[in-house]
Amino acid sequence: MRGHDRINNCLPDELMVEIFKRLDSKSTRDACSLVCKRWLGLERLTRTTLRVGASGASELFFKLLSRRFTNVKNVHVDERLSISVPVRLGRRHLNDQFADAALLFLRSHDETERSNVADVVESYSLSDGGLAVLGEGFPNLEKLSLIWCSHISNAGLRSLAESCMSLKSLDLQGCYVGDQGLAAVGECCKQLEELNLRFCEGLTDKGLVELTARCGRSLKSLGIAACAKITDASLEAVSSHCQYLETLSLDSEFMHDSGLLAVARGCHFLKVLKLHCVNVTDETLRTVGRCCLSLEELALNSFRRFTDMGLHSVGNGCKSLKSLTLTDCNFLTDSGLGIVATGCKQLTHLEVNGCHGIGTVGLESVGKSCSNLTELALLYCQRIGARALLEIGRGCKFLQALHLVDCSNIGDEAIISIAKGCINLRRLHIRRCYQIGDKAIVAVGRHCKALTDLSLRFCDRVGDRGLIAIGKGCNLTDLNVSGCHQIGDSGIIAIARGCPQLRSLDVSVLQKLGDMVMAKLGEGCPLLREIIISHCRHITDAGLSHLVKNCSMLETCHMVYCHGITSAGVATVISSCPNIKKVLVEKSKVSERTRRRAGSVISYLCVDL
Amino acid sequence: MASSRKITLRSSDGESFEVEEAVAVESQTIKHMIEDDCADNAIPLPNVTSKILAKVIEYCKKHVDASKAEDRVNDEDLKAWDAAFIKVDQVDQATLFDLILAANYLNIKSLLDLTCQTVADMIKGNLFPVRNEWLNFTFSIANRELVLVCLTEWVAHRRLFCS
Repeated sequence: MRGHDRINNCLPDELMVEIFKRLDSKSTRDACSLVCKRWLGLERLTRTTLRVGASGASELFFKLLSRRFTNVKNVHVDERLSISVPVRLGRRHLNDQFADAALLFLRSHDETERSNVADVVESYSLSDGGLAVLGEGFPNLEKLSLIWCSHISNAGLRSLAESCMSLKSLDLQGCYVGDQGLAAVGECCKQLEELNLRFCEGLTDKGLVELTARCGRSLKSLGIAACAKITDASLEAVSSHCQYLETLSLDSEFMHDSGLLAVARGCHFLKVLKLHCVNVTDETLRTVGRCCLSLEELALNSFRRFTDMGLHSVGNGCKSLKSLTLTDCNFLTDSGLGIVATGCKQLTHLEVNGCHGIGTVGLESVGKSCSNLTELALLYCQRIGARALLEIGRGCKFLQALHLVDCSNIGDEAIISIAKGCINLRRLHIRRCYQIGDKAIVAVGRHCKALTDLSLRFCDRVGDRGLIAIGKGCNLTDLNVSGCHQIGDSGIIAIARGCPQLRSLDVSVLQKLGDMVMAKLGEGCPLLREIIISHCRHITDAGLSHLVKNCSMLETCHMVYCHGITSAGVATVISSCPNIKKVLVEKSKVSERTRRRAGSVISYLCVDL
Repeated sequence: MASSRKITLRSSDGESFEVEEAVAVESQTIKHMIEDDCADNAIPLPNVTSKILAKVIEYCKKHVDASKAEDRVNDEDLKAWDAAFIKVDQVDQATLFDLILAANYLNIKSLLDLTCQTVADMIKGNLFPVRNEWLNFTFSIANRELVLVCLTEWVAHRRLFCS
């Protein structure tokens, strides 16, 4: 492109930064940073978040990052993600190399810097020294996540706390830090609002008690999981020092009632309570119902000792409750759910997962009383029958999302009543409900005009007729019909014609589909980002090439066990899709040339056949 | 009760514009000047030409009218007006940049948002030529792949690129 570089001559730095702040996508920002030196420098000022994997984060690494990205407020280090560090610059797939800001510095044009870093990359884990440098480099850090960083200890945490006194959010999931480190955080970070200590097995009561004593007043959110040495004593300290606590997430078999009772009584602003504690009893729930009157979200998982009495209390007391999740609570029955339904009229989210005592009657009460319900999930609920959904269809006009898994008693009638009544439905996910067939899906297509996300996995009575109705009536963005083996070309072609906004499609295991479908998808769905065609025997390279000719935005493609696809097809996908991020295919189908072009993007099927 | 006092604004090229106070104070800069009692005579705006000042006044007038209207102007309609207002200047980039500078100087947040977002969208759409000093070549972000190849080669084989 020819032309006069007016933009650089007219606009001063601060206005260029204003403009860069309004660039919405990361890839555009990355592209802008490469245009010229000035844009590189200015664009860096707009970066506020850094994500780092297990790439050998050494002290030099963070020094470089802090020099280049001076406005970063949020650092996220996740050592579960290993990023291959390319030491040798070569002709790889260029899009990926700049995908991570953490790798950007390796492309520096100062060769001495580059060679130094290449040498230092031996340990793949953040060390205490690295953490200290991170703290020094980003003294205004507000949010820090250190996920499964196994080599950091008290010393590192202390030096970090001393440098970053404005820290608001700290996530130490999986880090083996000790009480002294936590105490240091309490001493220095007086603005700490969010603390996550999931799987921090080195912590005992001492550390948490000291932290809450020192910075408890600002703490709003606390998460604890699998910490064997943290007991009720810590929770008692939380209740006396963390008056403004709003969120508590607890996953522990070592807690009993006394700690939670104290929290329920002491933390009056509690809004979110998530408990996975097998030894806690009804007494706690009764106190929650009496004292936590601002409670909006309650999640109870695997309680052996809760009964309906606890839920009665919640239903009578927590009038602001908006979200209730019950997982594997086998002693809860319809009566308990009924009282919550009638008492908590503001309920918008309800999830019942594997609670074998809850059946149709409980759900009927929900349908009758909870007119504000927007999301309903019924997972592994064999006892829930059609009548329950009839009531839901009648009463919950604002329902936007419905998830049903393994509900074998639910059939066409129930879904038809949902379709007719819940006209605002946007997301419908049904899995392994073998009684649901075309009649139900045709009704959905006819009535649910707002539907964008449909999933009918392994509902093997659904066929082409249902999909044709969906294609006519709904403008889908996501469709998953994996395992509905009656579906053939005509059903999917109807979708291709009727859903031009389709972004994600999963047709795996459908044996009847052929190349015509791929061609029509290419024509009709140019915005497609994700396609899963595994186990589709009749799709060949020709079909693939028709698809990628037009679907240039494709990012994900799963095509294992596709006997008609060869390495030529795989190569075509890689070369035609500039945004491709993940390809799942058999190793034997990836030629040497394709591997060189796009190695980091391809995942291989693990089983060697 | 908003006063219907008239304020005079003078552009850098000497032209005077009379506007209602409510319109003038859409600009925080002018608002502060009025509050500090510097507005008895015309307010001089040495950084804004008459051409740009006219457009800024047109924008501010529309937005003041929109918020005052008896039947409140639809948000969508105002957005459509904004889009049409700025579209004229997408062709004339010089005016667009001058509008950004004026919105910044006069501290009119909504106009700054509108103009900066427009430029951001245009950058995404590869509508700006920018000169890259290493390659001594003017291009847009559409040529990103080209840049990456060149930069990679340059770093690896510096000698080939010495100018």
